[in-house]
Amino acid sequence: MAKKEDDKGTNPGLNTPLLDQLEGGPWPSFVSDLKQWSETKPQVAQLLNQLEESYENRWNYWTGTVLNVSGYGGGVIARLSDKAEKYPDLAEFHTIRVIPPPGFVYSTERLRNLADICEKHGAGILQLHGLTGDALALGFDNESTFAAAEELMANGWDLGGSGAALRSLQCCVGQARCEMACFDTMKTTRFLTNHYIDFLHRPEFMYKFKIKISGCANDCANAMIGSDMPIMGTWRGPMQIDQEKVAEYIEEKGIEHVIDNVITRCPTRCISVKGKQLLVDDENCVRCMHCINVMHKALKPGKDQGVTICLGAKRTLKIGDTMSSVIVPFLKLDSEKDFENLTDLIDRMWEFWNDNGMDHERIGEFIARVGLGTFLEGCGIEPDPRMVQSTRTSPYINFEELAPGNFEGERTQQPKAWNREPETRESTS
Amino acid sequence: MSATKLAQRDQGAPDYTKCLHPAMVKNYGKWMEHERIRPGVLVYTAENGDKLYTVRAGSPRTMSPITIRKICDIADRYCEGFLRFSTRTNVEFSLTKKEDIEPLIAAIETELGFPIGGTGASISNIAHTQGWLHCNLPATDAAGAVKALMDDLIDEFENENFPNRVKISTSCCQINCGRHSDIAIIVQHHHAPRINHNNMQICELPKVVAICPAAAIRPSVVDGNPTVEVVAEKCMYCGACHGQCPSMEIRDADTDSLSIWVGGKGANTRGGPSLMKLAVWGLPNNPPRWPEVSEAVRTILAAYREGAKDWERVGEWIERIGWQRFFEKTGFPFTKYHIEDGPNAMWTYNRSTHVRI
Amino acid sequence: MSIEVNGKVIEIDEEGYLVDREDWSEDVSEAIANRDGIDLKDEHMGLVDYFRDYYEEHQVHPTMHVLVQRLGGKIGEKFHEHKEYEKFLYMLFPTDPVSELCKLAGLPKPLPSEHDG
Repeated sequence: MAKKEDDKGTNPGLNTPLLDQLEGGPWPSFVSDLKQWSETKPQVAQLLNQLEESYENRWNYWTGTVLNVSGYGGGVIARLSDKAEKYPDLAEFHTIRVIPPPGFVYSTERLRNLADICEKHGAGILQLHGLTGDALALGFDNESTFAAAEELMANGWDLGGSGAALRSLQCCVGQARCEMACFDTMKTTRFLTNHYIDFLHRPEFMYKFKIKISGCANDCANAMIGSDMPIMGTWRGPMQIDQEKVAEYIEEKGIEHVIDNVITRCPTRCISVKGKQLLVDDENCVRCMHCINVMHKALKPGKDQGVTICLGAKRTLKIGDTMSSVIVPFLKLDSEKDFENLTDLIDRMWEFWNDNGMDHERIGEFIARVGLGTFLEGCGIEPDPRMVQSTRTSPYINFEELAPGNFEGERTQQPKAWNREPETRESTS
Repeated sequence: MSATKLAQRDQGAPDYTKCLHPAMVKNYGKWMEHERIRPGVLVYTAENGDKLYTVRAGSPRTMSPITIRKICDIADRYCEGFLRFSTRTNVEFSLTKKEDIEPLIAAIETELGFPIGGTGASISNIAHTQGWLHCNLPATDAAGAVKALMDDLIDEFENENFPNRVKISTSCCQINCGRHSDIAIIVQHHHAPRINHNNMQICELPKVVAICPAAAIRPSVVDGNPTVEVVAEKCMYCGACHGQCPSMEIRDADTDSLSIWVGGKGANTRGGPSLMKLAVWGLPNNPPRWPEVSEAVRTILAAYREGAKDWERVGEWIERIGWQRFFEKTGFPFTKYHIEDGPNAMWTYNRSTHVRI
Repeated sequence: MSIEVNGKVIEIDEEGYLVDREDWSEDVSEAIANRDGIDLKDEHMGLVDYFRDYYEEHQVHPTMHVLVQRLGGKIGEKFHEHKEYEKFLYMLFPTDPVSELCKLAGLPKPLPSEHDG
């Protein structure tokens, strides 16, 4: 490949008057960073020059293609430049998705290792992190993709998911640094990643499936509207109240502040104030976390903690936005048996979705098409009123119990729930 | 194919316990409370009284090894060799020595040039997508738009001057990977895809027909070759076919525009999660700094800051004051295009006599 | 780029996909497989035939989902057993079975599914 040798200082091959306008200003500039880096990696200069042309013409010059490392059906986002004649180093310029440590925590040893490998084999540009929950490494041609992937894996990294597969999981910082986390988000993320690693690396679903995990209803992992299956921390029974600290808070801020910001903001009006004490109607608390956020020293989630599991969010293509809705109101997530319950549930939902879904149909779209009732039956999950905001308004219903048998033989049935023996698979974590 | 020995496959997620600050390992699951010392700096207290300070800095997300190594150097110096990235691409440095906070901040500011903030009722870093840098479908850039916008909003990142936190996202095509946010900027196309009939053999036609949500694509033959045609009146310019088949070009450098959506929220607090809704459309796709977008975002933020009650997110504020007031306060026009026409349209109309007169 | 099969020169693209799909024959399949370092056996050829038949009928190539459902279903009822069949396919074709089979069967190169940030 033709690479121009640079003089010292700024890369003479760079011609980026528009991008240069993104160098000033107080926010850190990726342009300045990449320009400096282009002195080490000439292909980065070509990348910036191509980006400059995009800015100039408001046009994109990347074409997608398919490339996989041996044994995997995903993890590489392969791109070819439409301007390869002009920018030969961009002819093949792929991204490798790398599964980050859960919660995006790194030791500098690990992060340097990642950067070193990416620099050795490719353009070395890292994005921390993509909205898919992966660490993204940019700028490898075909050969260096394979070489980098092998070296990454030899160094304890693994590639992330892409295509019609389980995608890399993502979670909040959880119990590592937050008192609000109701379960071990990092452990759950690592457990599910490793348990379902086959599904992450070898796509076989109808379409992608994303699991994101947040320790409480505040949803710092962006799970509720950003994943097919949010696993959200919650609790049973009363929340913890330290009435002394409540009194201190009221003395400091005044009763009006508490009424305006806590009492009247409760979505179920289950909290009231008496003197300098807070009274909570725990039966009606929906664990929204608002009062705990405001008075976070006095109030805490209850002690009997677990998760609520929802299902179905995706952005607007093709049937309009879907939001996640409750599928399991409460599940403990402590013991090995609890995790088995979780994987058994996921197995059943995936099986029903994959046996009955259509090509490119996300699980939320599938539920919208067949109905939540059918889906629950297909997965062997008991309907629960906490799964709905209200019961139905349409009176046209196929009551299986009340319908007479079809006189021309068997009545058409909804897909039947089948009883599977819950499979026990050993965790690899 | 080379016969070199392959590395171990299917290792899964790295062991996080080896990536945690010692104070996090020691107090895992035993944290008691937190406090914000100043914007961008928090202290977490464990049950045993241990304290862990965390400084949050905004990163540009796309970084060279030079920057990554500078981050590591700082983490080695002050944070016992550990660090974390937040969901919205901030870098978090945790340390146990209170006296090191100021030197740490000075190091971040001088060596990295990263601003400190993004906590509490501020504007956090902007969640964004790949854009022209590396995506195959985008109609606009992402990282550049974020840089320009955050230059403008840096004060709001470094201070906590809003009623509640504000999350912003940008997306560079109609697939909208940036997702719902308090304020979201997305690209919109304005005509049906242009079909390159000479290059349709690379696409699988049944899939192209099936993927159209508006059932606007049907099989056709041009010059004796199988291809598809698009019923223009049915097309809603979503670009689903373009994702499936590169020969159906949906983008148009001359006519693509940007729109701003408000009120998306993922947190379950108070009213629960909500979807974002259209606020402004028809803004020009104007690289390198998209000034019209910055101005519209600032207009929305100013009205929100003035009008919202404490703890109200953008969507909750609008829900309380009503869309009529939203358009009055921001000065944006309300048009027929703001009215939903999808399958759930009727549920978004005002189905009562509740009217602010 | 081209390969020579039984004395006939056949155009292929850089990755080995046929430029003209009419050129396909079993011998061509074998030549492409040799190029990719795959030793074609009956199991491989059975799948190549399946791909050609499926494409003939549906005008789309079978996805991995279709393979594990239709073919994997023959070795077991359950979902994790499908996965075993998929692993078997990866043993036959370590680098992306679906793409490789499309190549060997003379079908168009599969496109990437759309991507997010």
